[in-house]
Amino acid sequence: MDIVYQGEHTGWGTLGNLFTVLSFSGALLAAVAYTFAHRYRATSEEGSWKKIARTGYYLHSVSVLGIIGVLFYLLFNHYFEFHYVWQHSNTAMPMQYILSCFWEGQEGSFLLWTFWNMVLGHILMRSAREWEFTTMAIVAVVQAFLASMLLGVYIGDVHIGSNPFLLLREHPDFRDLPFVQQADYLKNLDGRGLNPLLQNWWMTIHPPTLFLGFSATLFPFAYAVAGIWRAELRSWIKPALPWTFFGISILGTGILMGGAWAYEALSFGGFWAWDPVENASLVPWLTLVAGGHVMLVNQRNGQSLITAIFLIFISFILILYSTFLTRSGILGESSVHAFTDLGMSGQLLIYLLFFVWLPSAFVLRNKALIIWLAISGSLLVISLSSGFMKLVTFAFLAVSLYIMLNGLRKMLTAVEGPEQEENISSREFWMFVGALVLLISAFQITFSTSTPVINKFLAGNLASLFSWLNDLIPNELFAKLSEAKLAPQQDVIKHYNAWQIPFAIVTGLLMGSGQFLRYKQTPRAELIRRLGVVTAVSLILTGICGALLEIKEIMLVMLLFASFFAVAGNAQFLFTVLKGKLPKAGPSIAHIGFGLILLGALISAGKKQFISRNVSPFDLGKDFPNNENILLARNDTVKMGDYLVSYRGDSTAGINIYYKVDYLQTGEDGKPKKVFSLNPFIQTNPRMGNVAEPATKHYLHKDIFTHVTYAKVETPEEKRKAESGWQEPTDHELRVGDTVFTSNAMVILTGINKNIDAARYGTQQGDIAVGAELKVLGVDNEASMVMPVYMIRGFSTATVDTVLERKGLAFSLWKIDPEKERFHIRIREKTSNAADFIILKAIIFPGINILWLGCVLMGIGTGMAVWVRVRQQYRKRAEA
Amino acid sequence: MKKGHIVAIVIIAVAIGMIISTFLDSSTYATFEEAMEQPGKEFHVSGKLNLQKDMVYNPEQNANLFSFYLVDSEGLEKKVMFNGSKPQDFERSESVVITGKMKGDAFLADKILMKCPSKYNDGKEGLKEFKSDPSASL
Repeated sequence: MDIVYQGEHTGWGTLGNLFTVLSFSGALLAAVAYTFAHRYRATSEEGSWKKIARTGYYLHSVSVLGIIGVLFYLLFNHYFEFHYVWQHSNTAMPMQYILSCFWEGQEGSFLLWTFWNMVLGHILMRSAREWEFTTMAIVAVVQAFLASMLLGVYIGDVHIGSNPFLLLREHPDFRDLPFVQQADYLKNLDGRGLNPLLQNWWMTIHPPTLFLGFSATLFPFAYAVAGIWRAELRSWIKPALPWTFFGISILGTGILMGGAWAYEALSFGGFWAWDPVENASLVPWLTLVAGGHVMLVNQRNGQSLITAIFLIFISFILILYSTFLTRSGILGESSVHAFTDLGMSGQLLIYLLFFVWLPSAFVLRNKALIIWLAISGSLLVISLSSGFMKLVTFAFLAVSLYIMLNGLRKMLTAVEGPEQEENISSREFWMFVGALVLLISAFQITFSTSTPVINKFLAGNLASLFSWLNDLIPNELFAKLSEAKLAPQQDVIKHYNAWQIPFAIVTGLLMGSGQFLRYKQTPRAELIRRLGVVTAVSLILTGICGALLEIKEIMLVMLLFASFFAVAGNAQFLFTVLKGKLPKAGPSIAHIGFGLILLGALISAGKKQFISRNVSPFDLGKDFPNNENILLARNDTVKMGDYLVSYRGDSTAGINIYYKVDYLQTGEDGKPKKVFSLNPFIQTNPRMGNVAEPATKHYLHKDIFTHVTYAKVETPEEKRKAESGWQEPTDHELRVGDTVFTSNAMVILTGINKNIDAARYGTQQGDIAVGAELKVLGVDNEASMVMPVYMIRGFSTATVDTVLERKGLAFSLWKIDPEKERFHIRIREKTSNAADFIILKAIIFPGINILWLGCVLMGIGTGMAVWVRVRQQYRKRAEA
Repeated sequence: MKKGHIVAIVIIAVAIGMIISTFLDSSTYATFEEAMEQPGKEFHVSGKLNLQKDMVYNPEQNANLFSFYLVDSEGLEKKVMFNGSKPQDFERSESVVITGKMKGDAFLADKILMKCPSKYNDGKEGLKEFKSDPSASL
């Protein structure tokens, strides 16, 4: 008999599924109809195809909004019968993080991506005019691909898409579990909750911005491919320029927000760690920046067209590749993950293959096209049926790319003859060189991030080939390749910096000087005069800054100079050449911003200082060089850098345990004074594990980052137990004047008292009673006196112990050695005394605000550039 | 020769240099046995924690030393000395990847990559990395 489940809201799921199917069908319809509209352009059929296409896109748009609406409704109402809701939220979670729940999962993040594409698509539809059919067809195909990832249907054995409206009891991990066989399984069900790391303010704004940036790369791509499709290789650039710079602006902002999140909420102590996930979003940005600049070059001199197309093309492809890298789990695994898994990552790979292939189909005509369709089709089928067989897939990609580039070259020379040589003193030439530097930089990052993919690629035949080569000519390179077990670099930061710092230096120098070069050719005298001033100013600044910060490494000094040069060059250009005229100031402001980002990164990262140096007496030798964690007992004060740091205890608020850390500095009167307190915390999460989040004190010129790397996290019950329990006592043999230390106090035997108050200690006539006067000086500087007493009555002895509750200490005088004048004191400490410590890491980041200022300026500058271009185009249209 | 060609040659040369340096810089996934064959050389070793044996972290003595036992994919168990503080909830991680080198009979690790038990987590969120190297992040 079927179980009648209680309290489910399956109707909403059905509605969601309906929207999913409609969004896919609408996008597909729009793609097909737009293609026909283009095919039958300027005929009587054009109008009706256009109508169908737009209707399809509207249907798609409404459905996407519908999916999002339903999913939010489910999340808000905690309908845990839905797997997605159960997996990403729970009832205890603050409401403001519902947004983060929405995009925590794969389905949600693809939905977010689809949403932005859809919204931007409407802007394109309205602004593209004669480009509408072709560009929108491409957008609609992308949307169909993305929508298919949410379908969750089986065609034969192949699973297409992952459905966000799947019921928990139907999920493969749950459907065989006994608890979902109970009709009222929902009654006590709570969700798994959101990853604590994502419960952060930055996480509500970083992903939407980043995905808007991802979406933005689609539009220049759509224009570029539409240009190939329409065989108009040149005219796509102008309408695509605002989109490109919009993408640069938003994607850049999104990446930097990710850095800000890492800095504020993650424990690694920095804003950038060359983490694969970070790299994955940086790389397309670099190529997009390069592409945007080459497009500008082309607008001036008509050259470098293929480079422009290629860069825009590769930016979009790299977005797909990056998403594949980060979402497929291939980065996380050491080697077990297989490509054969046709899950969402497999779909993403097909998606990538399709868009690499698409331009190649547009450059060919007639017979050549048919042959290529047959060849590429069979390659694809072989590749897919064998689970993305490496060499076939690689051949597919390589040949597609070759056909595209070769086709473009032929198309171009047929129309315009061979490309002209650039003048070496022209702005175009150096912008082009700059773009290539960015491209190489992007290549280096991609290649190094891709080691897991390279391992997959090497494993098997290729590895054997290298093994054979290594036998022939033994060397480290071949040996490594033959093993196909490449792991990330031992020192990842060093590896990336070694390559990226020189690139940054060149980029900085080009940015600083490029503006002064003129398009076509530049008079030498003018150039030397202008650059002379900038160089002199930058040299002076580098000298001062380098000396103050003690920057000695030659590469870093050069980077310092290059970033000053970029800032000074653009500032001078802004004020002397543009005379502060705002409409044209966008690029200069953006360049100043970028220069400041380099400068801020160099100073804050290069000169960051761990002040939590451990001063442990145990020397671990050179095998253990790391000493950046320090133990801080409660109320103990430790010197860290210029500060005295004191841990004041913890407090619990909701799921967070806050650790109050006071920073003190010696005041004028010589006494330590509190300067500020920080409350780094540990978020307790029994399901996903506890997470420590740092706290940072921001000054204008530096930040003090404080992070609890370890603390004993106890449940309230464990805590109560600990407070009442006592540790093993310690015995001390003391003479008057001797001192012993406990975990939280200094105990001095100041004297011996033989006049014991009989009433208080219950001594009788004839007793011999001696009290040890102990001065207890706490680490908080509070002093108290205690007196445990030792008695002899007849033949028996007794002790009267003293407990100092405030400090969790108990004292007992249990033996006296009159000959040696030694007093045996036994000290017991409460368990809570010892448990109460934290392990802390504290880092000073100097000048990090320069970095943030640079981010803001770059955002503003690129934003201004977009605005000016959009306005220009509308003015021209209004005139026409 | 055209300027374009010079630029192209320079780029190709840099690219080849980059590829080779990436390969040479990269570490290797290995088992303890392989790591023992080349003591002092850096490797990545992945394995499972032995929860039966002691994990020792005595911050009162040294806050930057944590030791535990790891069983690699071949079933070989070694003591691991990690130069850093004990990661939060270390006991809960199903499998870990450690980076470092063999010395004597112990593995000296300077990085720990934990994989959390929540198999539903994907990508970055499922992994936590603990580094000890002061220069490990910008």
